[in-house]
Amino acid sequence: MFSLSLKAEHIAKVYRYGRPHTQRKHVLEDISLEVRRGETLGIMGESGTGKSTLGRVLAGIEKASEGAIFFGGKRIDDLRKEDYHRFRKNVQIVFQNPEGSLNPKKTVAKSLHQVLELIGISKDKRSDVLCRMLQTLGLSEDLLCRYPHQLSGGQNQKVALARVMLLEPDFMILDEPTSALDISVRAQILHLLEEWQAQKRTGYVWISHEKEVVDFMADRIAVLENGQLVFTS
Amino acid sequence: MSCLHIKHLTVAFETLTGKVVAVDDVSLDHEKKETLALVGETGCGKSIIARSILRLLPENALVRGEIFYEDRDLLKLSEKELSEIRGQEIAIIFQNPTLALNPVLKIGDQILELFRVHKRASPIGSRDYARSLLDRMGFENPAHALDMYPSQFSEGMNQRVLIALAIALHPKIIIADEPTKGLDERLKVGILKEFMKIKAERESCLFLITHDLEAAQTIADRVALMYCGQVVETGLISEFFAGPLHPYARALLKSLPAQGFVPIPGASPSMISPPAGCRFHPRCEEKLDVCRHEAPPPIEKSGRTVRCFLYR
Amino acid sequence: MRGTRSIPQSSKGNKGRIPFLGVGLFLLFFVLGLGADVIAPYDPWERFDPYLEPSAAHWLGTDDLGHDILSELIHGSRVSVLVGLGAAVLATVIGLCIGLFAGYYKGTPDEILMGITDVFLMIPRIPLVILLAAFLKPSSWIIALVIGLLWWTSTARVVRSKSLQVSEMNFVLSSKCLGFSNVHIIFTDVFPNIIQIVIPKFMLTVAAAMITEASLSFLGLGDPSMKSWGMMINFAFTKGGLVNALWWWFIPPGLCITLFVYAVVLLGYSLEEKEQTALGVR
Repeated sequence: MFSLSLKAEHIAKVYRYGRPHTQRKHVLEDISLEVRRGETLGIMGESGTGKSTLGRVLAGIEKASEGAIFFGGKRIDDLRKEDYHRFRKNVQIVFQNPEGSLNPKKTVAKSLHQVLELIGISKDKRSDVLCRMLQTLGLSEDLLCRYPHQLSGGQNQKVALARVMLLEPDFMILDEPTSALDISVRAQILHLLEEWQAQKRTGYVWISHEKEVVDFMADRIAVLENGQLVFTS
Repeated sequence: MSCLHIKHLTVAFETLTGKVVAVDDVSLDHEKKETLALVGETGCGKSIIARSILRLLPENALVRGEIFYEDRDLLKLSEKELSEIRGQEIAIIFQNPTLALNPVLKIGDQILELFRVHKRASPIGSRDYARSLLDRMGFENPAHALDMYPSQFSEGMNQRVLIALAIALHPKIIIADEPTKGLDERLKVGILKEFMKIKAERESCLFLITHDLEAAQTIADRVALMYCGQVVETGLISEFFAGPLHPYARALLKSLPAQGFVPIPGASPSMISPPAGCRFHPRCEEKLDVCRHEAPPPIEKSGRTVRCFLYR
Repeated sequence: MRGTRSIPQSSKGNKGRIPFLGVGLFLLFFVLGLGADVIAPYDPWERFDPYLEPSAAHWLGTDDLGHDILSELIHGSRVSVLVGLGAAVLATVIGLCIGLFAGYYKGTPDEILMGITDVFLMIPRIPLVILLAAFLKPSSWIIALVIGLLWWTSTARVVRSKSLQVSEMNFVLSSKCLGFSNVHIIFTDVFPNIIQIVIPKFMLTVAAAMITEASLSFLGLGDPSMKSWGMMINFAFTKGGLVNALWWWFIPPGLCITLFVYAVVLLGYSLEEKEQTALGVR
């Protein structure tokens, strides 16, 4: 069976800064990796090594200076409209700072309803779909009318996950999803992500500096050091 | 003889949404020469306890109970007497190192300010001593570092500055509030090593506040576990990890990596309207009928205390 | 460490007073403007004896053509409020759109939009406004339009700056990743997070527009068919009010301008504070 893959080939990212833009900072150098549906690729490295940048490039929301990302065998830069929409829906990212993933001016309900509208769920089915997602994540309904700053870090992260999981993407790029969370909440999120992957065959790119978490979740691990990738398993 | 005796401390806040009891009838003994770890998850009240000791709470806090430091009740001292104790006898290291330092003062100035305020002259009050402190903390060029600003250093280095500030006046107690929060593995290890050094040099006793169980295991002698504003279990760290008593303690240890990240069902309760009876009962797998309506008192069991009816 | 006493909560002291004053004054002028026909004792165009001093019949006397000054004053609210608000709305909408798009799209669109902004910044506004007012039909609407078209630049810059910042935040990147359209993201994600910057700028623009209109009218370039406060001062000046120290003619309109601008600024200030307290007190 053809297994969909998300691939990076020779990705490099250079930031230019200074006035004029002549100074360069090489954040990523010659990165090549591949993830298949249903498996987890762990990317480890310390803060500031470019892990987050790699995550954003893989998700297609930041452009690499060199190299290309392939989704289902095709370069994402060359995708036609319908194919691009498929890519956009199926490759999602969840960020590390729980408070930053949600718009502080929108209630949880609004943030989630807008996604339901975007993916075309008809009005009458929306509250069902929403309830089911909240249950999957262990969130109670009275969170719906609250704003992000009224929720705990763990709840915020779960809502951010809900937004993404409503799309049922083929791939999820998780940038430090549990580093800022309490021990028990971390265990909850790992557990539910594991179950989700078993059910939906989602491919995870798990970016984290937490060694035990990556060991637990990942099938293969790569280490990012000084902008370069070193595979270990 | 104890360093610190916290007796029936209760801290409540009047907020727009109601009265929140952040700390409920907490009693703790911190023995001399030992490192006590106060462990718990976000919102359980541990940071509030740390601040109550030095009376650094906002004005809308209602505090009841007693906190004895060497026979004096800190909660009853005047502001003047308390300000002499702060920094000199009891020091505190806050979270978020870069935010805890004054961004417009050089590092050297902030250390010297400490001396000036506590009127300590040389040898302690000198620049040399400040430099030697930074040297101890692993700064590569301490003399140069004295003239730099916090924004020029990383979180890890700033955390070390905070530690330097805390040990500068050789206080009897150092309270460390989440010292490893948000830090990388490497930095965490470095900071914990610093604390081990402080322990070894037997100068001060450490009161560590953290949600990081593994950090507690590394440096603490005794542990007190908090849940929803109450202390639910205390005991020696080795005994705690070998055989936790309270169901929450057991579930928490199971959710550690070593045990396979087994999650605890349910969510942390709201502090505004906590569950009736035992606060952990909605999530407890071993609950009895009585747990639903009666709150368990602290029960002594061979040197440990636990708030659970299973041990009555 | 020493001297850190119990942390006081943010002072509740002045928060109660300020909004009421600002809101009160603003509403007063708003109501006067709306209900001028009903509130004013006389029709401002009706002629009585000229140059009358304040009396029971005419609380502020009459002007050189015998119009009741108090009625003129009340009708003047309408013109001033309309021109002030109208111009400010136009300027703010333009500045908002330019700033939002420039900050969100960055790159070439940003360069172009900021280039346009720079050009407008270089234009000497007051002389241009005077010239246009002098050559075009003297109408309050034209004045409002012209002011609106010229006063958007500082709003644009401030909005762009904040928009740049907000567009880098994770929730915006999340929305992009989820597949929302750029326009949707700009208006539902970025815009709500920059409103608190826009409101004070809007208020200040209202104040600036009002003063500009009053100045133009004072110079004689205003709309004589609409009795604004500026026109009243102009007439007082040119028809012998100042020379003869007929204070009841020129002081009330001047006072009204001052009070209205004051009200607008207070309102902007209190709205900004409310926004901050709603989000910031944690």
